[in-house]
Amino acid sequence: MRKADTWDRIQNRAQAGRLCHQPAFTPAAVEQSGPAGKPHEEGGQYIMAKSESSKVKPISIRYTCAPNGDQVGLSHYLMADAKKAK
Amino acid sequence: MAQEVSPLWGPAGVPVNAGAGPHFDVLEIGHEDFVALINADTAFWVLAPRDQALEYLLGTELPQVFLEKETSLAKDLNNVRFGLLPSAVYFNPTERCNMNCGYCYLPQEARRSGEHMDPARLMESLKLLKDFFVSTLPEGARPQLVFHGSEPLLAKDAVFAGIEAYGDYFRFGVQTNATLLDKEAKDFLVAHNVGIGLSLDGPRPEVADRTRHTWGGASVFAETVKVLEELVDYPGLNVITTVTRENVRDLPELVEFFHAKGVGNALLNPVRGTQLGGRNLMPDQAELAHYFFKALDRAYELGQETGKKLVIGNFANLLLGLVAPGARRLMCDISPCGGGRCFFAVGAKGEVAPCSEFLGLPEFHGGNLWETPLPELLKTKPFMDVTTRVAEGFAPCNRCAVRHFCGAPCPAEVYAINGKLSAPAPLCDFYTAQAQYAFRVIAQGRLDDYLWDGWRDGLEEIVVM
Repeated sequence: MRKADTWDRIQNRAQAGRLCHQPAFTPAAVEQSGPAGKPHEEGGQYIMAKSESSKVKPISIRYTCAPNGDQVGLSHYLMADAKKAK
Repeated sequence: MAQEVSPLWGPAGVPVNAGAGPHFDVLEIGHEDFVALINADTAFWVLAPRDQALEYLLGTELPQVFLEKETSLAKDLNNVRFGLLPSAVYFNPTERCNMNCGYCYLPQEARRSGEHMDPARLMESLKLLKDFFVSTLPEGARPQLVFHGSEPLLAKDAVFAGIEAYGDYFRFGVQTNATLLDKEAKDFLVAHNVGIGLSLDGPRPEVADRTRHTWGGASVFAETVKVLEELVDYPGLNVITTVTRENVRDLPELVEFFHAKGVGNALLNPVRGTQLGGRNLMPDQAELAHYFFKALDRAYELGQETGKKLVIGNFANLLLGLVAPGARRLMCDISPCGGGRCFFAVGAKGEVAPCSEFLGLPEFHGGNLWETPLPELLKTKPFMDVTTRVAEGFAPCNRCAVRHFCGAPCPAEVYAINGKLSAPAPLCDFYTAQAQYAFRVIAQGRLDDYLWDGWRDGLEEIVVM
């Protein structure tokens, strides 16, 4: 599964300057495929695609609810939620 | 003579980032059209069109509408951060384990030759715990009790007796390596609606066996997969992968494996560095981010291709943290974490710690279940140190826009690595990247694809924008 050349390039670039001052962002940025939009690499720089934002609306989503006593730690929270995925 | 009025002074609305005005951080999320504007204190955010972000910040609308809802937003977040009661217990009925996983948070010597809890003590413990919860939780509440390990089925008879005796009160779970889960045991657990957690660290034995094997080094991959296949349709099944440097590159393939097996829900939890074994197996953060996101991408693609979702639970919980903080289940990615305030752990010798991660750190034991009343134990200094650890209390988390989508986990590993609790997550860069990825998912309109069907049930929207 590993793409050694790609990964080495990430590592080298990360060490050279922490891409875009977004060190945590860089690994995902290298791969262009995938559903979540990502910046692309061009001439050694990370470039955002030309914005079409005048056509887009702001997004804000916030729901509230009373916690229901299912709040747990890492290893067993699916006890309560497993059936939701069925 | 009239005094001159500065042209900077005027009724232009409430300025952001000054005085009593709201504070908004700008976060690059790596999306072509959007950046995130975040009020970290309330975990409120808006994805603003990239070329209008400055107008949002300097205009009057955003500060005004935010201030109108600030109280309800803060109350919502503070409720889940500070307003909950303990309602779950990790319970270790034995110190021993028949496996020697490289990252276990329990000391090796105890797992090799430790003690089983006496069956009578186990029953006494369940009674003490029930009495405590009856006195603290609302009438009709059913707290969760998870037999954890080490390997709890090494004390199967005592565990099953406890389930039979208290099955009407507790919602039970068993976290097991599956090696002792024969047909009789499976039938018993299923018949009693007990949650069953299985651990599997790879899609192939040569990957999974690197970290999970017996004391003699033998593989348990085939046994675990067999049980997984038998229980895949059981609603209480819980599949966990601990992500280490040994399997991180196999995460996309593991997602394909789980999906092909029919698993609908899995956790891909980065290993904790609480014990030396775990620290030595921690993946490089950039590598972790790369392959974790590839795995999420693959889960999304498989869902689109087949119509069958594979929800990655720990990422889904982060999404819930963004859109519905009160609906989150996992309490590891919020501060204070859930340790000691939403749940606590009981060791095989009766020792009580804020979380299983702390069982191997004696300085964080609040006392003994059989000697000290639980209400007193939960107020001891070790517990208070954990339950009052907030991300805004130390740098750099106190200036981080995503501090309430990360929680600076985990206090146990932070302490083990830094010698203090007031320090950021060892995987700080990864958690930041994960929040950015989550915002991109929302920007793409794919929130529902990464969450369970019906996740909005019972939720009430707070309309700000």
